[in-house]
Amino acid sequence: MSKILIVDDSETMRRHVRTTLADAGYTTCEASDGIEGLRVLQQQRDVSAVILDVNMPRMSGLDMLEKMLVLQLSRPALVVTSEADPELISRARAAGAKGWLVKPVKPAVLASAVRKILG
Amino acid sequence: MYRHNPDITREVDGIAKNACRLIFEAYGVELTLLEDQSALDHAATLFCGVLGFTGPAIRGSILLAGSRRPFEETCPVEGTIRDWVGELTNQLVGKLKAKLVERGVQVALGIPVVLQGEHIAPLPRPPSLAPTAFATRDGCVLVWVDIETGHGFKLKPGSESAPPADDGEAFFF
Repeated sequence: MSKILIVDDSETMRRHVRTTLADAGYTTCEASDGIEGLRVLQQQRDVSAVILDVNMPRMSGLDMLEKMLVLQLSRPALVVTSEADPELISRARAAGAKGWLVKPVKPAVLASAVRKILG
Repeated sequence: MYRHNPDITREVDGIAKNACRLIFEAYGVELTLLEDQSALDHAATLFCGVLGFTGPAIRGSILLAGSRRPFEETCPVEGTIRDWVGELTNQLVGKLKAKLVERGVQVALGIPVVLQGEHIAPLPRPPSLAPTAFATRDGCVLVWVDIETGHGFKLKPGSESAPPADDGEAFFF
């Protein structure tokens, strides 16, 4: 059973994603910003993929992705955000993200996207 | 020097109104534009998210407010109303940002502030636009845009090109 790290500053969104992924057969762990997300990745080596928001306090999702590269913590990543700025999308791609999902989150689309990034 | 530009405010307000409607509809709540706002109960408790943004020659903020029911009804799981109002405000400004980018304007977003209270109303500087009000089945939602722009600021014409993905959809690299 793959473990997915959910990084979002909204507890409601984390709960929504957690419920969706649990229904799809995944286990999850959570962080509320990029700094916490990196800490979880350092402590929990069994995380298979990361779902992350962009606009968060302290450290954004894109900054976290870039740090993951530097710290050799990279995992397949899906950016889940209401933004669709081509510059941000290019940045995410350059930092190794595998996909981008535009909020609002539809459970079936999210579950399918996670399957896809896990290959 | 930043100034209020009624034409630009009207255009951005139009984008924000449309985005607001789409977001609530995506979560199952239909919004109907309320032309006559005299029926609004201003003494009712409103929940309100405010998020600022800034970019070259533009700065402003968006206020999303509403009665409890539309926020409760749209919340996908049991969550706190404070958190959900902040999240919807974030989504609203994210969608506004996407439209501004299509029109050649880059902005950076802040983090939402969430309030609750009675008689909540922005203090618009004349001739700023009044908040737009929507009715829902058993509540109301309001959206308000406050913008100032610097010298030479322009919005490019709307793009005909499709966005990288529709709302709620994913794409892969």
